[in-house]
Amino acid sequence: MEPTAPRSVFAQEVPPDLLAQARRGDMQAHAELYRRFAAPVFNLALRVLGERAAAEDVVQEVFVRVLGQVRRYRGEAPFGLWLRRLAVNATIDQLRARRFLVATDADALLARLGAPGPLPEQQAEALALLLRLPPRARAVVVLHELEGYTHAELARMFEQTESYSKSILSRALVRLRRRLGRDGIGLESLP
Amino acid sequence: MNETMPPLSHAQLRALPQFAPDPALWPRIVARARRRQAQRVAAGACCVLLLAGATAALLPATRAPAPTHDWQARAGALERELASAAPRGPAPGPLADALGGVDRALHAAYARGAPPAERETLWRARSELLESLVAAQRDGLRTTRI
Repeated sequence: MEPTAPRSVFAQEVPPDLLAQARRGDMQAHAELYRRFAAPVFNLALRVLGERAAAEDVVQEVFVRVLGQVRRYRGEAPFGLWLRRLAVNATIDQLRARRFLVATDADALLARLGAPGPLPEQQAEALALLLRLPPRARAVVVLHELEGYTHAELARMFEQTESYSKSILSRALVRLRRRLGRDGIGLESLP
Repeated sequence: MNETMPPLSHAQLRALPQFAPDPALWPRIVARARRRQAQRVAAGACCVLLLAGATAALLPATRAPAPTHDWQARAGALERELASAAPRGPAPGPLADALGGVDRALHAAYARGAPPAERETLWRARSELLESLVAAQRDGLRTTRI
């Protein structure tokens, strides 16, 4: 069920001792798991949802579940991938539950992310391009291209066909390429 | 799909900037998890109370008395443990509310001469709530801010 995404930030090793402590309810162990995985969960949700507050809601939901459900984790898949599934499910739940506006103003988009300081220009431009995609297209691009989910898996997540997932991704990538060309930004600058 | 868009490589997407969540998020998560846990325990205690009421209504008054001292003693020991961990009393919340409800039910049960089985169920509910309060107090002391 889980895709093989060896380079995913979720694929990091977690010491078995740490997991055993977390299963026993040790809050320091949970804090350590949070320290390791909060940023990956947050960035996955942020790229898909495009809003800082919504992404923090996802982080909160995921780690409240980890606190309550880590005893159920049996180690069939690496812990990070188990946690990533919680993150993806919570993100898709947010997508379904709320309306996310597609803004066209790059400054407004970046403001919603709450960046602590100015980003390098090319990164900011490319991030804005990604965020100009409709939310569902962003989800498919991020989950397929960054996290390695297959179209079959995406189809199950979105309760659609594989063709639907492929079509969404294809259109999203074409749209990105057109924007990159129109805005005079080289593809190599896409962060 | 990737064949149609070779320039949009994983490496390029992977270089997207990384953001960090609010540093104050972890304490909020711990607090929310505790509230959920407390709500679950309180809901369980309410079920126990309902069960005790139903048991009292169905049990004949002449039934032989059941032992009550074990749960009562256990509740007493836990109460002392809680008092030493939280001298000002348990923090307000669903658990403390449920404990108050059990205490009132116990008073009412003794006042009307309820059968021992009903009182035992209530003492058991009281013990379990006290156990959760002691555990919550213990976790609270061990909570780490990062």
